[in-house]
Amino acid sequence: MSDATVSGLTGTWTENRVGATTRPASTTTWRLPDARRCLQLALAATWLLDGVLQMQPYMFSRAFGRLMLASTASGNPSVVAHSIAWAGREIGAHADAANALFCIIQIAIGLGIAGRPTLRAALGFSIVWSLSVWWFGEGLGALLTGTASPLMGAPGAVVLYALLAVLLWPSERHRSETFVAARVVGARAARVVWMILWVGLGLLGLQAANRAPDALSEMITRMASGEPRWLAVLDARMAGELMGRGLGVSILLAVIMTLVGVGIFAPSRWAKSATVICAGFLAIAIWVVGEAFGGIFSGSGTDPNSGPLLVLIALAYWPLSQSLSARDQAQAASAEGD
Amino acid sequence: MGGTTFVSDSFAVVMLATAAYCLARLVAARRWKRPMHNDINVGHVAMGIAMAGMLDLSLRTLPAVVWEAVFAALTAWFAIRIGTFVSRNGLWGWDDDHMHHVSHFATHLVMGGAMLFMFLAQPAPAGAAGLGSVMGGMSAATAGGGGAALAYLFVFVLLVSAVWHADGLSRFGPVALSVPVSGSGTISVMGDTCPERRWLAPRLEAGSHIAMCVTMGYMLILLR
Repeated sequence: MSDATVSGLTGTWTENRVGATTRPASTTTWRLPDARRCLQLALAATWLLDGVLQMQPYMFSRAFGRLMLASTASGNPSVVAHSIAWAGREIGAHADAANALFCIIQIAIGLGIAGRPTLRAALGFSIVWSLSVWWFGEGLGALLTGTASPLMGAPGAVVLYALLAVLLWPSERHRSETFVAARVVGARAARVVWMILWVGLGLLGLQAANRAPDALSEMITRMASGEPRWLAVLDARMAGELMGRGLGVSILLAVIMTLVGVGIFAPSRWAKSATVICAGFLAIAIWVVGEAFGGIFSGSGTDPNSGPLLVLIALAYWPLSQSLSARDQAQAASAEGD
Repeated sequence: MGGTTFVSDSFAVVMLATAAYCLARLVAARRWKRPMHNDINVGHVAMGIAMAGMLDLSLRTLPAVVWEAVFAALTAWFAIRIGTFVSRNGLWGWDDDHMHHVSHFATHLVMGGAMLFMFLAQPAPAGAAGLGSVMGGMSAATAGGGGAALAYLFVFVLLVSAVWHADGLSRFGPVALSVPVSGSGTISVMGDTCPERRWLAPRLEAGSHIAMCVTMGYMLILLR
C-alpha cells in the first residue's frame, strides 16, 4: 500500500517516500464539450422538454390514450392498427400510472444523456423507447397510411430521436471524418442516411393526399386550432396563400428536398455547407408553418415535433473546419488514452 | 389522487427539500468556511419555497406581492452581478473560483425573471387549493398573448441549463491517478485534479439547480 498523499487542490501530487517522483503519469479530467457532445446535450434538452410536456394535464386524462394515441391507428394495416388500438385502450385505462411512467422515462433519458457516465446506456435505451413510441404512439409516422406529410412531422418525430441517438453515439471508429454524423458509421453511410431522409421526405410530399389542390392549406388550417392568436393568424395567412396550390407547392418542396438530399454528396465544402444551411432553414420553416411548433402551445403537444430534430441532424452533418475537427479528434484520442 | 395533482405535489415536496438543503448549505458553508455563492443559494431557497406554494396552495407562505418584490430584487441583483462579472473578467472569462462563467449568473437572472413572470401572470386565488386552480387561471391570463412564447423562452434556457449542469457533474468526481514511483513502478491513488474540489458539495449544488430548472420548466409549461 502506498503512502502517497495529495498535497493540494491543483492536481500536484507528492509522495513522502524518499526518491519518489511527484508528477502524475496520467489523469482523467473533465473536458469542455466538443461539437458532438454539444449536439448530445441538445438532444438531452429535447428529451427533457418532452418529459415536461408529457406532464400536462391532458396527458393524464383517458382521452390521451383512447383518443390521441388510438387515432394514429387509422389507415394502418390491421396488425399495426390493432396493436395501436390495444395500447391506446390500456394507456387510457391506466392513464395516471402510464403517463407518470412516460414522464419519468423521458426525463431519465434526458438526464441520462446529459450525464457523461450514463450517456451510452441512455442513448441505447432512447433508441428502444423511440421505436416503441413510433409504433404505438405515432402509428409508424403514418408512413403506411398514404397520408404522411413532411409538413406534419413525417416520418414521425420520435424515429428521428432514434436516428440522432445512432448518429451521435460516442464512438470513434471513424475519428478522422470531418462531420459529427460520420464518426460512427463513416462518411459514405452517413451521407446515404441523409439522402434517404431528405429524398424520402420529398417523395412523401408527393403522395396523393398531399398534392391535392387544397391539401396543404387544410393541413395548416387544422394546426391553427388551439394555438395562440399570433400563431393562428400566421397559420391562417399561410393557409390562404396555399389554397388551391397544393400540387405546385408539393412539387416545389419535393425538388428542394431532393436537392438537399443529394447536395450532401457535393465535392466542395462550400456546397455541403450550403446544403446543410438549406436543410436547417427548411426544417425551421416546416416547424413554424407546418407543425405550429409541434403544437406545444396548445396544451396537447407531447414533443416539439420533427422541426428541431431535423435541425439537430443538419448540425451533425455540418462540415467542421480542419482545426476544429483536429481539436475534437485530439480530445477524443486523449479521452481514449485515459 | 389525479395524475396532475400527484405530479404537482411531488414537485412541491422536491422544491421544499431543495430549499431546505440550500438553507443548510448556507449554514454549513459559513460554519466550515467553505467557498460558495451565497446569493445563488439564497435565491434557490426563495424560489423553492415560492414554487412549493404555487404548486400547492396549502404551502403558501407569503402574499404574492411580497414574492413579486423579492424576485424583482433578486432579478435586479443578478443583473448587477452580471455587470460586475463582465467588467472584472470579461464576457468569456472565468470567476475567481475557476468554476463559473457569466452564464451562471445569467441563468439565475432568467430564473428570477421566470419567477416574477409566474407571479405577475397569476390571478388572485379564489380560495381553491392546488395547482389546477392557480395554473388554470394563469393559462387564461396569458392566453392569446406573447406570454406563452415568453414562457417557452424561459423553459428553453432552464432546460439547457439543466443539461449543462448534468454534463458538468463528472467534473467533480474523484479520479484514479497513476503516480510513478521510483524503483517500484506506479501506484494508483484516488484524488482529484481540479481546483474546485473545496467548493461545498458541488454535485449536490448542481443537482439542486437541475431539480429547480425542471420544476420551473414544468410550471411555465402549465402557465402557457
